[in-house]
Amino acid sequence: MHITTNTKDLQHLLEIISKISTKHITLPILQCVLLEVKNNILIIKATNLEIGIEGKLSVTQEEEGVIAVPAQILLQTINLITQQTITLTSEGDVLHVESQTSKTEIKSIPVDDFPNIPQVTGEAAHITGKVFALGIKTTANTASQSSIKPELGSIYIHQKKEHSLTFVATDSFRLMEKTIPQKNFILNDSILIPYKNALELARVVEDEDDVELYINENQCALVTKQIYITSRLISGTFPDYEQIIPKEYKTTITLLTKDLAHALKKTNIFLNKFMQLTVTISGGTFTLSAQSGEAGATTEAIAANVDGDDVTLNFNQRYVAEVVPHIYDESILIKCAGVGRPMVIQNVHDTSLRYLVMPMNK
Amino acid sequence: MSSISNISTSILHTEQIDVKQLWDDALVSIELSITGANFKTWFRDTHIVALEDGTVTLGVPSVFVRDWVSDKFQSLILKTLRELSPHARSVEYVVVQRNDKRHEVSKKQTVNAALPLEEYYINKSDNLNPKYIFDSFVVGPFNELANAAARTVVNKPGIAYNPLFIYGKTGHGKTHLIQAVGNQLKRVGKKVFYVTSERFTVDYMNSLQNGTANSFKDKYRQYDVLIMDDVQFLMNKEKTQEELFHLFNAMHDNNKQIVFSSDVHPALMSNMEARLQSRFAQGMIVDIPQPDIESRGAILKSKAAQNTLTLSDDVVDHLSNTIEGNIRELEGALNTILCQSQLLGRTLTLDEVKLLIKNSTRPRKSLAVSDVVDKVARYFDIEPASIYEKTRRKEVVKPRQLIMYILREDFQVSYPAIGQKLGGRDHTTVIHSCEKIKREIKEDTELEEEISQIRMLLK
Repeated sequence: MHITTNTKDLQHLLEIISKISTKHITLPILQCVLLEVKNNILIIKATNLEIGIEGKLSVTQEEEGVIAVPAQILLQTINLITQQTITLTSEGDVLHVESQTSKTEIKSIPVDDFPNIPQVTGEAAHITGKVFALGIKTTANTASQSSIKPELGSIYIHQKKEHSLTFVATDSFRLMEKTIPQKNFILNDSILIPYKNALELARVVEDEDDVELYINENQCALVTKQIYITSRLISGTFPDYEQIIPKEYKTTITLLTKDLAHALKKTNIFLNKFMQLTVTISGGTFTLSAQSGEAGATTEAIAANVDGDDVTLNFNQRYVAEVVPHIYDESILIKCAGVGRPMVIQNVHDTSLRYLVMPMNK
Repeated sequence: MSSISNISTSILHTEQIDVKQLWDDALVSIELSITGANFKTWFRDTHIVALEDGTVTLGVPSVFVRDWVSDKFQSLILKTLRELSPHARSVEYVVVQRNDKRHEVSKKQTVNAALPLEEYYINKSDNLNPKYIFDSFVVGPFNELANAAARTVVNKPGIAYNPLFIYGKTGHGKTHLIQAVGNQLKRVGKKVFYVTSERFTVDYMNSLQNGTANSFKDKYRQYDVLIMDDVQFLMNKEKTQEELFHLFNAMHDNNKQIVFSSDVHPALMSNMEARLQSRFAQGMIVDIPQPDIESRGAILKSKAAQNTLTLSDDVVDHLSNTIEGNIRELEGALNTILCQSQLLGRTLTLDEVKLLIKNSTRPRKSLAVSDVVDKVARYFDIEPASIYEKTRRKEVVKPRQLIMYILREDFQVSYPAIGQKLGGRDHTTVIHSCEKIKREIKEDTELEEEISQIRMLLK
């Protein structure tokens, strides 16, 4: 292999792709990127066996070929090269990285060990990368971190209404639902993407407008102008979550988003080890309080429009606070269904987001 | 029937043991021939899915593994398998994710309450929730007929009552019953599909938009049993109604069972095509009315037993007395009690339950006493003013006592307050009245009926 290319372009592409290659103690090949040159195109591949990614770049080719080198070593080297063009040459088991002033030799790993990247084919659906990424980024944090139930460690993507896609994730303590517009898009079957994989997909498409989406039984793939990324899908079923969203509420509270964010900052100082946040609705006032044995206690009354019964509920503060950055409205709407039932948080006007959080047992 | 299925499961069982043993032995030998790292990465979570005519089908956890193993280890696997089992001639691979781990998880008590997700896993291929079966369906006088009709359908699908149309108010157990029919028929090998009318509409719209109307038709026509929930939502949707009409005819002609549920009688559905309405009525129409008090008690006990919660008879009585009609409300109350008793680690007393229910599930409405008086007086057709008077005429005494009882039981007004509001009576008079009604209610069904009618008025 022998190619010459623009350093910045290579660096940019390598940055995206090398994030997928991981430090793998047992299989050193997974730390590598595979460089493949053919017909004046350089294809860079990486995989961690969960995700496979490929990027294309036009290069000036002297000789075609394939080589696998550790991703981080290559990236760090190229990051430090200041010249505009760069030449990559393979010789035996060594990759030469050369610019006008620098010369580097990187040891390669046999390419035979590099896993196949599954190619998902079929009919492409066109989606808007930016909003697709927003759907993922809004819900990913709510997915379960545990691997016991793979479907809860995933983002559930389904089509509830036409021209939209709904993303849902839950760790069984709280649930986030985000609906994004997708014009003229039809998803026949719902899919489950492991949340970590989904975040990588989001990272690749977050600045893109038109992205192709391919889905088959076990894999899904997103394709941009430069990148092909594929993730495995989870084959389980996601619970019929609509059933757990309360149909009737006893108390509704409307308040300014910034007031809530402010109050949460204060209670954050005085959380106990369970991160217990007490929400009190009494006689039309809305109060947040926290108390810890070591630090002391704090109470913050927030100006709010309260309608309905009095109630006192305890929450894990982290669960409540996590939704705030995703609220884009000036005002926030909180709905309580009573003791031991989930509380719902959403925007006042924008109905694209719904967040459910269960109270603590005491 | 049962003996045949027993035999076939036992055969399956021994085969499973054999292939498991075969693969375990193979793994031991494979482990010795490759590096530990390779073995761990590529052979973890693999298993033999099937062994048929010398072809071993190997389940692997992902596409990556499938490609890799079939590329690099094909000959090793085949060689190893052949040494162990002379039948093995070839190996194929499928991606199978095993979710066996789920069953090993014990419900551990966490600080944070969890969403009851466990109950809402539905089977993707037929949309049935495995939780809804006949065994957990409580039969009482109110739903006897519906239950009998459903069981007849299960015994003679497509022939007995086709379609079976079940209607009743929300929370009376329609969905449970029709899904139980589905789950039961699934067990005898029928292809069942459960769909809400809303989903059906969306599916149909999508197929029109996609230009795949034909595959939509084929999809629904392949089932032996179609169960459609909440058909009342099809009102005003002409195109979807037409599609359902054709689907209905196709299925009915082939003796395929159809089950509908709705919250109203088909004759009362407005904006529903007459030809569809008449077809709804063609088989059997049954109503699930509001559960009576004994059935409510039985339902509570059954639900409590499912949740391994013990309820004393007092508590059951109180709950079935105060929460009427909707079974979902009963469930809600029960969940609250369950939650609280888990927390305290003991069974709750009647008073604690009363307090809980008061706070969480009773729709508490702040009604003025005078409102209650007015409505009850109107019900008995007497002057509201006479309630406040010191008269002891019989036609006034009974309504007055009823008012006291209702104020106490439903609105938790204190005894002295009731006495004072109703013309300055002593609180012991009020207690006496409440106790009297409570006693009589147990024997006098007419009185019970009156009270439930009054409660309806107050809603």
